[in-house]
Amino acid sequence: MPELRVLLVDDEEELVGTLAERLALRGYDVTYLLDGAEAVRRAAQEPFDVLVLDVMMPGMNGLEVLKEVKRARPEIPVILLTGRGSEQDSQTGLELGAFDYIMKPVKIDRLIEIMLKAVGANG
Amino acid sequence: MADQTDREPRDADQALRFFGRMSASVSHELNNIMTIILEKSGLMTDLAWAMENGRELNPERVREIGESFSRQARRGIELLKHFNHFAHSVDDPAVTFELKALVENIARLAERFAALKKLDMKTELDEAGLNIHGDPFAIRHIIFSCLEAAMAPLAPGGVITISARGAGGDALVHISAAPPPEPALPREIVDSAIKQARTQGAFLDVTHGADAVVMTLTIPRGAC
Repeated sequence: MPELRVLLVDDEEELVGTLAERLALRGYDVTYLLDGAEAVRRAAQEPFDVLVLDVMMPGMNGLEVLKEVKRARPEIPVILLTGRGSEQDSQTGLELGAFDYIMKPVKIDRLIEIMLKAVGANG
Repeated sequence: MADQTDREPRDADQALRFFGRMSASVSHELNNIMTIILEKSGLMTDLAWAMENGRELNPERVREIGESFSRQARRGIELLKHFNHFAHSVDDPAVTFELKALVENIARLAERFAALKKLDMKTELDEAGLNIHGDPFAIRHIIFSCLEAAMAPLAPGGVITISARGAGGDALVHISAAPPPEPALPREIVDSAIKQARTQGAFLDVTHGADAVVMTLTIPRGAC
């Protein structure tokens, strides 16, 4: 099991907390946050291997967080969580440098597969 | 008293766009609710696997997860009830309806828009039994346009308050934005709301106070 430090960001606390717990049960080192601005600050300061980021968040949305993170830490791969009907956001995210996106509801095995690919691609 | 004789048919394109926006917002929130429920059920499976592999499980944890299922299901049911009322509001453009219930309905559906801007939305609706004869969909549309105009220029932490009361043969709906937003309310949305109000024989005016900007919608109560 690769040791991955994952930062999850979503304003729905019950969702992101549960996802964090499920990833932790699988051996990953997970931090979760509810706010985009806080995520930008922590991502700049702490050694996360991958970010998983909801697009639709109050205040600073996921695409804005992505832009700021890429400015501060361009090497961190970012995976976007999007809702159905947000295909344009997904496309914009890829153009802004997201590694990939995954639609809610999330299949955890698929999320892990993408995270490992993202970190592997990072070297 | 506002004049109820000059009601016009709905602007179909605008009405459809409004219906579409509300539907998209509700479906987005419902998707989040379903996603949480699915994740929680996945967590139960994961915890069962962990127990089979020697990990102990605190019954309190199981209780918490059960309560979460219940909480999200209730959230979904409440939202669907409101969406159902909203969807049925297009059935008949000339019915008698209760204003407090209508305002509660559109305020609940507008909550997500306010939350996305980190705004606090409050309702002050003490007066029940305030009946209006008119177009419940069109009135919802006007009120939502006012809410949208109030939300647009407010910074995070701002407060939107919606209240309603009777005034003789009219009903008054007040939507306030505090603190008074800079820049001012978006002209295009306010003008559109004023125009929509006129189609229902209603009036919309905007007053600028030291503490808040207030939009007042005066609706004729009609044959009530």
